[in-house]
Amino acid sequence: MNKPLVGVTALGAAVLVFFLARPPATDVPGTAGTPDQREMPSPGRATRSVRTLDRMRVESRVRPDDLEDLAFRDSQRALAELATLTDPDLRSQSLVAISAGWGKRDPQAVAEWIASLESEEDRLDAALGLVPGWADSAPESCLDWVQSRPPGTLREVAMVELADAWVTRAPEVAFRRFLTLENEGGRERGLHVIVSQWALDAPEIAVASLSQDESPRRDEMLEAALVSLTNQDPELAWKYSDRFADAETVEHVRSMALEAMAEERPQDALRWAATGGNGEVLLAGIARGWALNDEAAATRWIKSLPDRELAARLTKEISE
Amino acid sequence: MKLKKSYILAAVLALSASFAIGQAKYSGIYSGRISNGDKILIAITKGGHALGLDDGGEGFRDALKPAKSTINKKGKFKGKLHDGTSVVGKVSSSGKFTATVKEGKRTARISAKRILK
Repeated sequence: MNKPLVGVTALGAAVLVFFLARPPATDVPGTAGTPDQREMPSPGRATRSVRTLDRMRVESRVRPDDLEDLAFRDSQRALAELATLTDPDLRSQSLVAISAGWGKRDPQAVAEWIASLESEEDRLDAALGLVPGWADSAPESCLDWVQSRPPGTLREVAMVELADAWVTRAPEVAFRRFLTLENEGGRERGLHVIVSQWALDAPEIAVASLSQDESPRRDEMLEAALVSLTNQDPELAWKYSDRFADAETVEHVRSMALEAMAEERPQDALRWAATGGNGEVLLAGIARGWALNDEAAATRWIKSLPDRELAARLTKEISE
Repeated sequence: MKLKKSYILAAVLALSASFAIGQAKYSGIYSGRISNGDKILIAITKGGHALGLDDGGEGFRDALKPAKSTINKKGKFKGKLHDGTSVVGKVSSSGKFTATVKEGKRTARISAKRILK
């Protein structure tokens, strides 16, 4: 075996992995510096690099995935590891990991620990870790805890996460339960999450169930589901648009379906629009979708329309 | 001797690389449009939060609330605008952002592409 060659190859692979997936120097995208800047280290930069490496040597012993496993087995040791972390991003990820791992074994204990955290940001990160697993195993207990939180960001975000986890396990139950909750921001956002995801995971069942709903919010929820479905199967969303008595809603859902279709397949969208009567709302959907990926082609199509006033309105639609 | 030091450095770097796996792959600036015609610009941070910017000359009027707008490891996005409007969607690792925005009883689409990573 050529040991030097193997060594150099391994080193190259490790460095490549690092540069493809290295941790952010800052949380703001697009500010990592130009390649030229990275290739010309200054003495001060080198000193900072050494400090960074020192920190990595300590903190790389604790990876979030490992921390989740550790928290499941021994929450106190995981909390001790958390106390050693100095990198804010790593601390945030670790809070999520610890509460997720620990929460699999004892969600009530994690809930009490979250309440004891001083920082609102820490409590939010920890709740983001706890809620998905808890909602998956015992959604009603999780809901009780979420609703016992005071009004604010944590309660709202936790309710949205609860909806997201619950819809994966039991969408119909989640939908009915959320409809019964007191009106608040988390409930409304949760309902939006539930019907959107339900339509993607099981469109036929979701549409059948929502269509039969007798609540005053039937059309609103069905529309939210079908517009979500346009991002996955615009033809199916169009097909189900006939479930509304209100013609304006039918046209709106069809316009959304054509917009999604036109992003990738504008010619197909044109054929579907023709079957729906080529109304202006439908053509506007095509114009917007087509322009997203190919504004020049969309503009040429608009200019080819015989109705000059319509063409002007569609041009305005994609240029505003 | 030099090669051995490099091995150690590479091992440290490879270990630290795992920190970035997760939401960070979705970070960047996304440009697109809401179905009502408004153009949007969204900045998704490496920490998994999002800032929405409108181009209506009114600053952050329609900005997403970062603390209430999150992206998980699968790219599922759940956001909220300052006026309470809910946004639910998905970001693909190839840089496409598709979502729905529910304002009152009406739901519309949001479509955007990553223009800066």
